[in-house]
Amino acid sequence: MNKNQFIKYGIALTRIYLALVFILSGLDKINNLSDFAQSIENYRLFPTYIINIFAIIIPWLEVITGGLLLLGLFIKENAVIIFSLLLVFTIAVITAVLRNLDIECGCSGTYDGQKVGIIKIVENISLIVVSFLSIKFPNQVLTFLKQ
Amino acid sequence: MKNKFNLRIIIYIIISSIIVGFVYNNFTSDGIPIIREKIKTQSLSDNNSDNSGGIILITLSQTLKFYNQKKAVFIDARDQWEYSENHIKGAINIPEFSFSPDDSKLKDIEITDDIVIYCDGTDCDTSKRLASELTKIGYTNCFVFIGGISAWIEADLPIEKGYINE
Repeated sequence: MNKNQFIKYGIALTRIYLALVFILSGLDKINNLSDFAQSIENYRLFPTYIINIFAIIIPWLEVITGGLLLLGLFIKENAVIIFSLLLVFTIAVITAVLRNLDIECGCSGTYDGQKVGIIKIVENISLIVVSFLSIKFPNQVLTFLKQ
Repeated sequence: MKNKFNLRIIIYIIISSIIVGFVYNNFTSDGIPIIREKIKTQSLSDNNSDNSGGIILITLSQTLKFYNQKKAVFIDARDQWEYSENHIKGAINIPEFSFSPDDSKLKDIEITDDIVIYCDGTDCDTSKRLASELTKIGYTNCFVFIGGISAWIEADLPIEKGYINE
C-alpha cells in the first residue's frame, strides 16, 4: 500500500467512525425523545415552544446523514450537514460552560450522563476535524454503495 | 478534485429528516407534543396570596419541614440509575420519562397526600413535568423541591443508595 492509499484508507476509516457515532447517538435520542427535548431545554438557548421541533428532527437528521455517510452516498453533502450540526452543538456547549450551567450534554445519547465541559468541547472539535476531512477529501474507499 | 457540494442534495436530506421525524413522532407511543408547553410555577409563599394554579416550588428549608413531619411522600423523578446512585432517604422512584398513571407505586399514595418531587437541581425540569402529570390525574398537593438532590447532599441531609423496588 503506497502513501496515498494509506491516507485514503485513513480518511475513510475516520468517516466510518463519524458515521457510526452519529447513527448511534441519533438512535438513542429517537428512543428517548422526551429526555432529549429536556436536554435541549436545559441549555436555555431557545424559546420553549420550538424545543420539541428540534428534538423531533435532529435525531433523524443524525441517523440519516450518518447512514448515508456509512454507505458512502453523497459523502461531501452529508459531511457538510454533520460539520454544521457539530459546530452548533459545540457552540451550545461552550456557551453552557461560560454560563456555568451544570447540565448534562445530551450529545451522544441522552443517558451518557456526560456533563458539559472542556472534555466534551475537545471531543466535538475532534469530530469537526474528522467531518472537515470528509468534506475536503471525499473518496470512495470503503464504501458499501458506489455513486 | 472538485470541492463543491450539491446544495440541492443537502436540502433533500434535511427535508427527508423533517418528514421522517414528524411521521415517526406521530406514530410512536413515545412521541412528544410538537409544541412544548412552558410549565407554570409559583413559590409556596406566593400560593397563599395568589392561587393562580401551576406547580408549587419549595426551597430546601420548606422541603426539610415536610421531611421532618414524615407525612409527605418523596418522589425522585430521575431515571433509576441516577436514583440508585443516591436519593433522599425514603424517597421512591418514579422516572418522569416513563411515567404512567397506572404505575403501581401510585396505588399507595392518597390523592390528598403531600407529595414532594425532586430531580437533580435547578437546571432540571423533570420534577416539574412529573408534578404536572400527577396534578393532571388528580393529585392536589404536589410540591417541587427546586434544589433537588444536589442541594440536599450539599446540606448533608440523609441520603441512601440502591434501588427500592416498591
